[in-house]
Amino acid sequence: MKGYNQDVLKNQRVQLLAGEWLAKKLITEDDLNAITQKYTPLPYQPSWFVKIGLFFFTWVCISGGTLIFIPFTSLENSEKYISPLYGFILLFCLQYLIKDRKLHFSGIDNALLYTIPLCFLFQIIDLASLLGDAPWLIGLCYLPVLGLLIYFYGEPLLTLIAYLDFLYITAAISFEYPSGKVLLPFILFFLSILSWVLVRYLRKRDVSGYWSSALTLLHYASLSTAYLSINYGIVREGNMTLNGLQSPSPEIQFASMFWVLTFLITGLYLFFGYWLRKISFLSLGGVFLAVSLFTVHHYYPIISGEWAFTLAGSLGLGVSVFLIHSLKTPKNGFSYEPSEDSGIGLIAGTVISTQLGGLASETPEGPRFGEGDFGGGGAGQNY
Amino acid sequence: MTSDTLLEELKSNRLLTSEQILSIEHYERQKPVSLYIYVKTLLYLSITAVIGGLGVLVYENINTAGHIVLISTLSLITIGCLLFVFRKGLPYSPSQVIHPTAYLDTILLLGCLLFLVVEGYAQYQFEVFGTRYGLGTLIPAVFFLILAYRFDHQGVLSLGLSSLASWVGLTVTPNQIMVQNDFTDQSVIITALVFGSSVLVLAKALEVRGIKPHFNTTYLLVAGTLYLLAATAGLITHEGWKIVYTLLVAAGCWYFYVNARRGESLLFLLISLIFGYITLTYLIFNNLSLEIGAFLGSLYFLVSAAGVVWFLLNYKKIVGHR
Repeated sequence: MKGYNQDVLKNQRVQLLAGEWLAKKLITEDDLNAITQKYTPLPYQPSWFVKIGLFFFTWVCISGGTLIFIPFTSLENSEKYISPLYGFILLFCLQYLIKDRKLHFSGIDNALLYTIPLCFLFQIIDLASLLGDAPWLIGLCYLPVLGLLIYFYGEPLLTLIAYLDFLYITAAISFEYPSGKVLLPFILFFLSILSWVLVRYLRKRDVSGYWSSALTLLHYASLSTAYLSINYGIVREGNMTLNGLQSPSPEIQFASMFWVLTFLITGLYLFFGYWLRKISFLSLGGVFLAVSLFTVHHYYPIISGEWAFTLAGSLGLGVSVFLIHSLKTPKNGFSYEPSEDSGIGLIAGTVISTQLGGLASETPEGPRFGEGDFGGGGAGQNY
Repeated sequence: MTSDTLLEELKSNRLLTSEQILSIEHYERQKPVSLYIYVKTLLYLSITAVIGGLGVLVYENINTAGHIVLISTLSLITIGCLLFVFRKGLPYSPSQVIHPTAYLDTILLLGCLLFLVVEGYAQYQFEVFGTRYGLGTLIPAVFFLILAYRFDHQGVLSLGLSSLASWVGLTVTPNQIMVQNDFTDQSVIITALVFGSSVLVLAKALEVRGIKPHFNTTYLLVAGTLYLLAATAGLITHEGWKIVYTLLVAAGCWYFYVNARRGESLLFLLISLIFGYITLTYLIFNNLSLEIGAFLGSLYFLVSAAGVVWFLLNYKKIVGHR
């Protein structure tokens, strides 16, 4: 038994694929109609802007509902039952809305799913305090609650939180032992890789389709934590913070090995991304290449920051123009085919351009356009 | 569910033939991965890095032998970018134009941003506009607006509008709009209202005449949001003009709603709802005495937000959105 209707989710995927096949003229309009008739109904899927609105106003609604309980807080031990009671009310609302409105990650259910675990915070803290006073015990006691919600609803953000909670617990336990402190980066790296292998296995199985969004996010998260756990800069700064040392951070043991790993993992991601045509590896490889170069620049600043930005930006521009030019026709399994315009790209372009205009017209001592630069402030004679 | 399993199911349900299954399997194995969104992201990040870096570099090298070389190089690149787009771009058309050169829009945006860097530097170092400060923002505004229409570029249009807003003493830069515009000053509010509504009227007139009607989204996003912010700020900061500002917010929300209904963007529906909700909530809590109490107050948020959620769940039926 699952929170969402699995058939409805399957229908959505079938219709999506069938639409793509029709666009590529692999099936006819009649085939599509037949498939659409067979695979109905679909979940309620609003646009991104409506999702944001639904999430925001559901959150306002939940907050308003919380305040209703204020008159009862003066009752004895009220915190022990009011908050979980509210959690169960929200759970009931969630289940009702999913069934009645066929919701699936529509903003409403997401907001409810994020609030429900918080309603049990006092009980979790009480339970953790019975086991001991270590902070990670709260994280440990939360894991079953998150696990249940993930099993029933497959919500990606909750899955990510559970994953990070798991890594936090491991790191906190490791830190209690001298050898654990030294091996912490490798323990986190090993766990990340192990998680990725497990996620890869699950993603290939048909029965895991219900959790596909959660598994996709975990795929990105585990690859990210694998890199971040052995990044030279993070290990060095983490070593300083965790051991309570003074800034600037001292050199770490096995520094050269961490430098090699920083670039090796990045290189492997880029290589596998290209070889396997996996956009996840390529995009993460690109981001981590930038992070790795920034790490080098941070500890060995050969050139100034502004030169580094200008040169890196120019390189990025060159690579982009080269890719656009060379992928006019698909090559090596890659293309530059515009995705369906959802309007978000246009709005993002407008916002970014306006923001860049402000950046381009910044002057060091304030504007000499009469206090009015591109970012405003006035350009009239009075300024 | 993997594609193979799904294809098997479609075949067993006799929805697809064996030949179709074979060609779909071939397509699924061979279909290229689109890098479109990633390359676009890289492009914008690269432009941000270049402009951010150059913006500091030109001023750090003042009074050194290299700064003339640097600024000359930037000027040449700016001219190069503009020459490129004039050479490769399609001729002007009042309807939407899609240029065959995929990165032409990026080159144009880069050229415009470099123009701003060079112009800012020229005024800073050589005071080319003297004390006629307005020229420093009016020239790029006019230049960018012409280029936006000539090359059908909504990013450059938003740059032009930002520059025009600067000319009248306002900012529309997203992260500065609430910081640099002093919305406690009624003259700033009135300027923003006049600027926003004038631009929207102009945009509507151009749309009616069939001149780049798709630019309406950018006009509404830049000028419309500024208008709504100013009207809401006026409502909150100027007690004596409450009725006037309420009507102005209502008119703004209605205009956004009408545009959302026309199928422009559901972002406009969201903006309309948020500003409308803030205004209504402010009016209720500002006019009712504090004795309303926490219970009724929270009941208001519970019921009103639930009402908005219900509206958003049923907006297609209610507004007949396309």
